[in-house]
Amino acid sequence: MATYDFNMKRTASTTASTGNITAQSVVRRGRVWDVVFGCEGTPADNAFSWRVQRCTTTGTGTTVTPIARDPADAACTSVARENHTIEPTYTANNELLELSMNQRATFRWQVDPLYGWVYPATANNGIGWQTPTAPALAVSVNVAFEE
Amino acid sequence: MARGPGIGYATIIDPDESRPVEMDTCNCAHCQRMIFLHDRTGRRKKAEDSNGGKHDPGGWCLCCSANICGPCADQGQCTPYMEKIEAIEARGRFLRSIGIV
Repeated sequence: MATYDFNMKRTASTTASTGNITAQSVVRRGRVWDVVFGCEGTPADNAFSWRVQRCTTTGTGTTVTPIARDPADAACTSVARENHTIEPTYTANNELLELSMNQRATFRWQVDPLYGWVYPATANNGIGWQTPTAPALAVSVNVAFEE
Repeated sequence: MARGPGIGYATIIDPDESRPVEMDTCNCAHCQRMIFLHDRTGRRKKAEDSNGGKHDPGGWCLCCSANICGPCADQGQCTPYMEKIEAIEARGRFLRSIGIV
C-alpha cells in the first residue's frame, strides 16, 4: 500500500463541506490514518466544531491531487475534493468524529495505518470533513491516507 | 500514553492551554467512530463519565473482542465494521453487474 497526502482549504461554512476523499474505482480500499485540522484566520475566540462523516457521493467541489509520499508510487485512484458547492450525501448517524474546540486550537490525530478509518472500494464512497459550527474564516485540513 | 494495536493518538494544540492536550484514542470496531480514552485534562475516562454517549469510553464486544463505542454497546449486537465494508462493496459489485452504476 502507498501513502498519500492532501490538503483541503475553504472559508468555513456551516452548510458546505470543507472537503472529502472518495474511492473512484473499485480497485482499492483506502485508510485515513493521519488528520490535522485547524483555522487559518486571525486568532480570536470563536467556537468551532468539526465533524468527520462517511459519504456515498462525491458532491461538487474543487479536485485536489493527493501526493504520494514515495515518488516511486503510482498516482492514487481515490479522488479528493475541497471547497464544496454541492454537498456529498452523508450517511446519517455515521459520524467518525465530532469535536468542538476554540478557533485558536489545532487538532491532530494519528494511528497505525492498519487501524485507520476505512472507506470501501466502491465508487463515490468515502469520508468528508464538515464544520457545523464555524465563523466564516479560512480553515485547513491535512489528511494522510493509504490505498 | 498507551501503545498497542489500534490505539491512536490525538493532540489539541490550544494557545489557551498551558500545554498540548494529549489523548489516546481507539476506533469502534462496529462503526469506526473515534473514541477518546482520556478527557481534555489527561484523565483516563471511566464508564460513569458517559454523557449522552458521544465520546464516552464505550465498551468491549465479547463477540469480536474489540473496543466499541457507547451507542454500539447499547445496541447489543455484533457487526464488525469490516463486514459492513464488504457488504457495501458486494452491493456495488452487484449494481455494476446489472448495469445500474
